Amino acid sequence: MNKRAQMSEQLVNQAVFTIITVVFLGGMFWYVSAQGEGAVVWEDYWSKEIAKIINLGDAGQEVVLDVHAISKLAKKNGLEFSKMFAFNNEKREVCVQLNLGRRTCYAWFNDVKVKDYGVEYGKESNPINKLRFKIISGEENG
Amino acid sequence: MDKRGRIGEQVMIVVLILFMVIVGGGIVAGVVMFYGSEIDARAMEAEVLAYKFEKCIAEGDFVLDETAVHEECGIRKEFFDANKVYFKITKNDGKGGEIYFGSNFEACNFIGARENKYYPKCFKREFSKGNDKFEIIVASNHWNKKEIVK
Repeated sequence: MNKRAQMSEQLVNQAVFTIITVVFLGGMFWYVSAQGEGAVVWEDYWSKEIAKIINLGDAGQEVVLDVHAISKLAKKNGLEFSKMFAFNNEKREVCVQLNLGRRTCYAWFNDVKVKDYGVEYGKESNPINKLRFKIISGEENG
Repeated sequence: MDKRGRIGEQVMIVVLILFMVIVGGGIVAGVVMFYGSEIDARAMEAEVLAYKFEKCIAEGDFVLDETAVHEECGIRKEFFDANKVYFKITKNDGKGGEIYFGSNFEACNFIGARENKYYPKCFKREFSKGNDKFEIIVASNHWNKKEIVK
């Protein structure tokens, strides 16, 4: 009877250890995944990518970018689409915000300005949210 | 004796939790260091800027003058002041003239500096236009800026 009691006790101990280990591993996996979807990473990426596009662009061009994935992230964080992107023509910098309270900005060196920018909601025929903006000469009033 | 055996088993739980805290702390630290560090776009920016200079020199009647660089090439002078980006354009190994913003371009040749994020990332481009040879060096130490938004 002692042996049966010991066996059942060992089983309980093993079960507890296993549950603790599984919970720990699950928690670590969730944390790493959440960081990978982190707003800060995407803000950094998109601010630099948009600045690069502006640096390589010329006045008169119109740019349309697929921002569906990050718009979903912004919505998940409670941010309005209108606040996701901001172009400051005085400082010549683009700011990307995907979370409440902070944003990431990056400057461009090309002597151009940006106007008529905004995020367009996807339509039924093409349900992809897009960022659209126009590049104008640096001497124009944007 | 049974009681001593049980106490030994309970101590193992503490060891397990301590082990998980150490492993978990290491994973969290690694993730924070990896995702917390900024994407390094300096080398790409230096290359794009060098390309813009080259295009400007190759396509226009370029005068090696600081004002011409900014006005003819459409590159904002204020950008260099504010963002730790430097450039040097040399014509015919300096005999035809040179213009530069910044100094210490020799740091671009340091092999040890390549892995050091405090040194700028450089891009060098050499090309010819007619009988003239140009060399462009651009060094970028431009990082992003984080702002608090109310």
